[in-house]
Amino acid sequence: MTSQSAGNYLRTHRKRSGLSQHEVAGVLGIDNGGMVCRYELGRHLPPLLVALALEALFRVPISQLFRGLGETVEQSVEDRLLSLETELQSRSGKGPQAAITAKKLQWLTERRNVKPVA
Amino acid sequence: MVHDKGQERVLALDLRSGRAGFVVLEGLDKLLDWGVRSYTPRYGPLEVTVSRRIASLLGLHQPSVMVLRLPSNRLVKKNDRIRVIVRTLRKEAKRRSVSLRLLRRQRIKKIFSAQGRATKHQIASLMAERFSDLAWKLPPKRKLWQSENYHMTVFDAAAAGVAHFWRPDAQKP
Repeated sequence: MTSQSAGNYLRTHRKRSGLSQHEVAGVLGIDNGGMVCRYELGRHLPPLLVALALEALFRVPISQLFRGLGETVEQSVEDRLLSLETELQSRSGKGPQAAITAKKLQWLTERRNVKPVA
Repeated sequence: MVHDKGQERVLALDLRSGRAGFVVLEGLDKLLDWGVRSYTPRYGPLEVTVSRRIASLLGLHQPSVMVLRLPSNRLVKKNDRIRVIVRTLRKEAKRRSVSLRLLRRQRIKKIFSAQGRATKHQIASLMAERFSDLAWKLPPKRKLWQSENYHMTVFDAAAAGVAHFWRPDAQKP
């Protein structure tokens, strides 16, 4: 039995550093440590700038800091892309529209062979 | 290192009557969280306090197994608080579909004794070697007249977590 990935690893990385929530908040430019606590518990999602600041602070990519969330988002995107691909394949166009559809399908095929960024 | 439980996430607790040390392990080598939670009667009865203080860890880390390190049988029988705490945690684990494993102190000691780590300090040192994040909290060896260091419970919890991954045919815990 394998448990699901935690929503984020902020707490792990913060505790590894020995920094308090208040200190992390100070480095991130947030008013108080309460917000850092909420991010750690997954009650709030940090805005993009704060997420980037967290990446810079711990030197860990956002996708690894928020691994659980990252996996969920990635899965949703893959599911929606699959629907889009099915829809594109069912289109029977002629002329320039068909060329655009073919280009999109080609990109989707190429994309499948590209490894995602860690 | 031989282990058969892969990347299982484990919440290991060292239960004391007034507080519990905890570690969260993902597999045998990845330490996610650690610390001490006290059951100071802040929220009313002991059940409610334990529920709030410990169950929050279950919510935060979503482990698949909760390992409880228990004192000796004699102490468990004597200590009502420990019995209440175990009962409360059992309920919480059931409610969240988390498997519960009870490990007695003697059982953990036996596992580590096979490696020549028989004393509490030796086991704690082994944990500090394995998990570098804990190393700075390793207390010096206790003298006979000293009381136990506050953080020792974290090392006991870590030992319980590692012991959970141990299987009889393994050479090292």
